Amino acid sequence: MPFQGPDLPPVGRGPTVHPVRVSGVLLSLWRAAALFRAITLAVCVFLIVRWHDLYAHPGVAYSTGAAMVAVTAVICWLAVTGRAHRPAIVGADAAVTILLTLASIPAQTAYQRHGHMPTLTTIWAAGPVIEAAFVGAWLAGVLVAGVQLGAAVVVRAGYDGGTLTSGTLLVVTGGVVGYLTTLIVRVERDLAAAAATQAAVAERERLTRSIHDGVLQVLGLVHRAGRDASGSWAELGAEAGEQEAALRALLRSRPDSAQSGRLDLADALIALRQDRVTVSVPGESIVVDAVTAQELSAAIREALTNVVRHAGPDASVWVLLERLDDRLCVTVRDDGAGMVPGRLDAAEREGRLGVAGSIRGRLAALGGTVTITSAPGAGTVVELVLPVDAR
Amino acid sequence: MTRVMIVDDHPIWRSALERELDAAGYDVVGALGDGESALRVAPAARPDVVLMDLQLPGLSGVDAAAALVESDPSVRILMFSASGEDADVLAAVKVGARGYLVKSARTSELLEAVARTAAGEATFSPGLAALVLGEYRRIGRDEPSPTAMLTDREIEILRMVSTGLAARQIAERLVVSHRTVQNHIQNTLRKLQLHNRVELTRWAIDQGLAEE
Repeated sequence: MPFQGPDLPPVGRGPTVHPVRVSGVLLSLWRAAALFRAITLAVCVFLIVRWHDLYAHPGVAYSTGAAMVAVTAVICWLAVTGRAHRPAIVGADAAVTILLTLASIPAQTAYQRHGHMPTLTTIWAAGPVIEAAFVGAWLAGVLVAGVQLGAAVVVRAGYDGGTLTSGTLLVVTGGVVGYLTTLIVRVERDLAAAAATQAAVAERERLTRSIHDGVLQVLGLVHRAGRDASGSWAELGAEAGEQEAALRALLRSRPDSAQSGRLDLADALIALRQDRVTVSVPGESIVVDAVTAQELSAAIREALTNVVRHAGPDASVWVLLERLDDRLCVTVRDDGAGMVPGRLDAAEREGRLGVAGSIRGRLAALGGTVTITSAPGAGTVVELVLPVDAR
Repeated sequence: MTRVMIVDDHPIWRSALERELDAAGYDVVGALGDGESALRVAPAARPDVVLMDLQLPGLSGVDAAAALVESDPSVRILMFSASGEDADVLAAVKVGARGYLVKSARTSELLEAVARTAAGEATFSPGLAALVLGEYRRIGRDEPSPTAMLTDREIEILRMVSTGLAARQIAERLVVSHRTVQNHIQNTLRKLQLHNRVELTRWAIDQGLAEE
């Protein structure tokens, strides 16, 4: 059963997906941005009220201040409830902020504008930069910062040291906030995935222990008792044995093996064990790609079917898996009736390939070979050899 | 009378094994649920044969077997394992267990294996032969100059055992005595246990745990 983590947004550079509401660390960031917006608004309103009699047109300054209060209220409400993260909202915010910055031109005197008083929006105009960095990473942060800087330059009708310094700080802020946001979101996602994996592994271990201590022991005892019995009790015992083997294989299987596309050949062959089929494997795992494991298992299953058909119902079969320097070798030997030498060759010449031909076909497709030796009364030995990359 | 000790953490298995061994005339000197108790009881109980489950809580079956052999090299340990625990069976055999038996074995097979182990013969099933053979193949691949190698005859015999041939059948095919075949088989196991001991010592020296 492949492991399924909880639904997580796609990781990496794919198209950004915007959930209806943000949550987790992003929601905290948006709330911090809302707080920043509110505090900077207070600063701006304080300055407008304090300097109202110095402006060229105080009415324009007051109207601008009122508009800033309205924008801040809307953005803060959306941010606190986790709904301010749409590019359209942030884009509108950035556009309105630029207009309000430009309102400094009619509101302030030329002297005030040319470097002797901050713009009406001053530090409040950094808000959209931070929001854009949340939504569109460092690039969006830098772009919106550049546009806000442009608006300040237009108000000043040029640039001076102060504009450049605060502008550079704004651009750097946009870039850094954007980069850190990407990083933090990725870390949060990885942490959640790791926690989910850990929880799944822990749950798996708990189930494994419980099954191992209970069900498997009883199945094992029933299997064993059945082997000393006869009739339907023996059948029941054999069934219990098969279920025990299947359950053990399930508990042993790695949750990620299906996805990685590689399988332990020894595990795959152990699954073929039956009452009359003895499967012997080395103690080390022999990991091959899943297709090779499946094809080889299928070939061995066909060889086992062949034994039942030709060697007689009482024949026993032994399967041996060996890993040599440059090849894998699977030997399937039965103690059945055997065949007259040349019978197989004759069958192949006559075009009656049957099971042996199918086994040869599977191995040939994998680049391997099949050798069948048999003699009357001495059983049959099928040897499957598959070259593998030497280590 | 042969003294047998059973180590299995599952009460139903312990009582089933005890009943069968007792009925067959064995003296069951202990039936214990974990490796630690087995190590504590063994010096007083002095079992000839220990039937030990591979999966034990706490001290593993492999470690318990190693400790039992360490304190009394003459004790004969027969591991009792479920299907699919091959890597652990190999580890147990390397530290000195004389053989292993799958849990699904018939009562007759169990009694035969215990009798053979008591008589000092290795119970060489096809599974065990394949594990030993596989371990030599691995050593041959991993070590630049292998310190444990099989002769061609030993490989031939191990492959025959692995594919289900009995010692008597092998003797017939190779035209040698039954005794010679048995000796070859015992040799492969002895060399592997020796190799394991050398490896452990070398590892201990590397880690600064032992004097050179």
